[in-house]
Amino acid sequence: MADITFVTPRYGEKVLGGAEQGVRALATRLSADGLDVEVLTTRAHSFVSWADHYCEGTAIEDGVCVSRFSVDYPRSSKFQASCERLLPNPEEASLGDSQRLLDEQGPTSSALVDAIAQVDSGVLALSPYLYNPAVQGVEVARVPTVLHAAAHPEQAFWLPVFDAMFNSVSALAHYSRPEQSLVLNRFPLTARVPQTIVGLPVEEPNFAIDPESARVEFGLDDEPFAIFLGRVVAGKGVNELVKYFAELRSRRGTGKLVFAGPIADPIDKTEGVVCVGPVSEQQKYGLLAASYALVNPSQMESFSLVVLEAWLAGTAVLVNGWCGPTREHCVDSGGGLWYSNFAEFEVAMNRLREEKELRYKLARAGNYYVKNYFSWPAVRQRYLALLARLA
Amino acid sequence: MSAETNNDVAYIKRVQAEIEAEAAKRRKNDPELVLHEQEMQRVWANVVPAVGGIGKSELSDRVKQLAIIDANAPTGARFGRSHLKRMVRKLTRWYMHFVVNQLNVLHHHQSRLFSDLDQRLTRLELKHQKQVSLEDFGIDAIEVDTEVIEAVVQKFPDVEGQVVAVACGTGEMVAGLEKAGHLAHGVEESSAVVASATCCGLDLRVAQPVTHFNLFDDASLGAVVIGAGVQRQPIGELLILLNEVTRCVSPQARIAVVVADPSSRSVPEAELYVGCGLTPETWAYLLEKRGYVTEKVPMPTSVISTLVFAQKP
Repeated sequence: MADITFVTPRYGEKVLGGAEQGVRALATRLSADGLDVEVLTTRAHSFVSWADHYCEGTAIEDGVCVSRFSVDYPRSSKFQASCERLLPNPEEASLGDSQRLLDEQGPTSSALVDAIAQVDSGVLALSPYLYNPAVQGVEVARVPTVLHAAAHPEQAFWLPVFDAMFNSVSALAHYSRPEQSLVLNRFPLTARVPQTIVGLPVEEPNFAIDPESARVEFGLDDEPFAIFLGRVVAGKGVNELVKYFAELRSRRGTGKLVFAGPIADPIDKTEGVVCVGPVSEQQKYGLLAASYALVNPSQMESFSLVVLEAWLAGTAVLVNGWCGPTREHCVDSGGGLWYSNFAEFEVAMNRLREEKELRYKLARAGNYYVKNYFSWPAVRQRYLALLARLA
Repeated sequence: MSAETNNDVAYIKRVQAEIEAEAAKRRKNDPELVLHEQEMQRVWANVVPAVGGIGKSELSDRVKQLAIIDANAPTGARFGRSHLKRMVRKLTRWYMHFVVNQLNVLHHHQSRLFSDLDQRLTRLELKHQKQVSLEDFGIDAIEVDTEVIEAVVQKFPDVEGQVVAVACGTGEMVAGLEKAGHLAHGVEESSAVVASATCCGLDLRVAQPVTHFNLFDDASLGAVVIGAGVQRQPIGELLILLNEVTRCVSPQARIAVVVADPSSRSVPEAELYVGCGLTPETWAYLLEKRGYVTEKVPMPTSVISTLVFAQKP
């Protein structure tokens, strides 16, 4: 019987998504530390179709026992229309309508729910809050539950369907202080359960970072460039970033911005913007080290791994000041700057590009912060302390 | 944090302030820049609609929609007395319906605006009431020593339910209570103080103590420890806090007041916090007035010279 059973909609090395990667980071490391860890998930790789991708059944992956189940049906074609109907006023949606929205979104897997119901020892850790496995998992759980909500102020967060789940979990593991505040404001009853800012483990890469190779590989000349790293999707603020960058370039005359990551929403063709598509770990760190700053324009983050990875690569960061968690990282560490409007973006980008000492100090402070607060021993201590409160 | 890192953080704070000042100057001198910004921000607004229900513009649209008087509303085509009566009745009904709708919308709009106004006033009040932070003057917050923590833990042998440590600082008291097997969490107003304790894995929350207690039902807590940090609150706030604490604790619960006597303050602290804090004797008196039996435990070697424990008889 497992000490911890993680429940997540998708699981795998190549699965993209902060919450899913967070679960994998915790599961593999806890398992390596000698805990008995299991993962219950679907066979899906894509969060759009939920089509079966991985084999059904149980397999050992990096020491973790992973059981995968088929979904009952793919994402409904009505999902988009329901989003447009319900999400502008989520608080006014009925419980039935919001549950239907989750069903249409998927994944719904009765086999997965049955497996969750059969867990009779240890702790169930569910993540993220937005999908049926967590909502239904908390309902059928027979053991204490820890929710890694990965919540951020998206419209769906205000749907009434999540009230019961948040109000009945046994503990909450937050990625950041702003996430905790958001959850406490939306679900005041969660104040009664144990909770800790656990964060996620971020560790130095076990290979030499090579910025020059990355430049050569992607045909980038010597011109300094800033980088956006992650899924290129409108919800992450990329369109706003492209507009800001285009304006900045038109005022300054030069500048380059590299987008590295899978492109979900095509961006406007803009002079100075280079899209290199998905990159490997080596390429990612190489590009980060070669850039003069990482720009994260997203307002919808609950942790933001890329910001911390940039600091590990020795790169300064610039984040959207309206995003609580990334701004908190910058304030606490002294490793990043933030902007709340174009004028601040322009001044910050110019200073980052021109001032080497500023970049060095930012990166040094950020690096210290990551190594002290988000090394695996530090995260493990916080997480196990939270689990101990459930004993 | 190392001294080097502290210097880095201070340096970055300065740089950020410079960036904001420079940006504000540019926005002031270049009205076109502001227009550009608005245009660019619409890109984001199109992606994410206003969070949490009806936005102000939508509400205004609804007001407009309901305010339109339709001059072509059907009133009938035949002439005559009965038709006239019917028409008057219909007009009256239509008019009343219109008036009620108008009033409803007006009330809705007013309550939204009042709520906005209330929030803004609260922010303003908080800004004005905010006490000077001693951290700015290099005066450290009072640290609770182990002797005090042990004394509190000893007095809480059989607590049932959650323990809340108010003004918990970096969480030493919470750690002590957890070590003794209690389900404890701490509340601290300063996010910077809590951030410095993040690595320890304690359940520490950033909130104003009174606001935090609003989240709990009557008689739902097993015990409360009122920490030294509350002494930097004005007396009025402390009375509200005490009311909230006594509301939230169960009849069997215990309350511990772990505060230093304001008369033992250093000169700068005494001058900066005039009118803030109460002596342990006054805390005991206030608890007795609320029906508690109190016990004062002297701590001769600690900055916190007297602990006050309270329990219902």
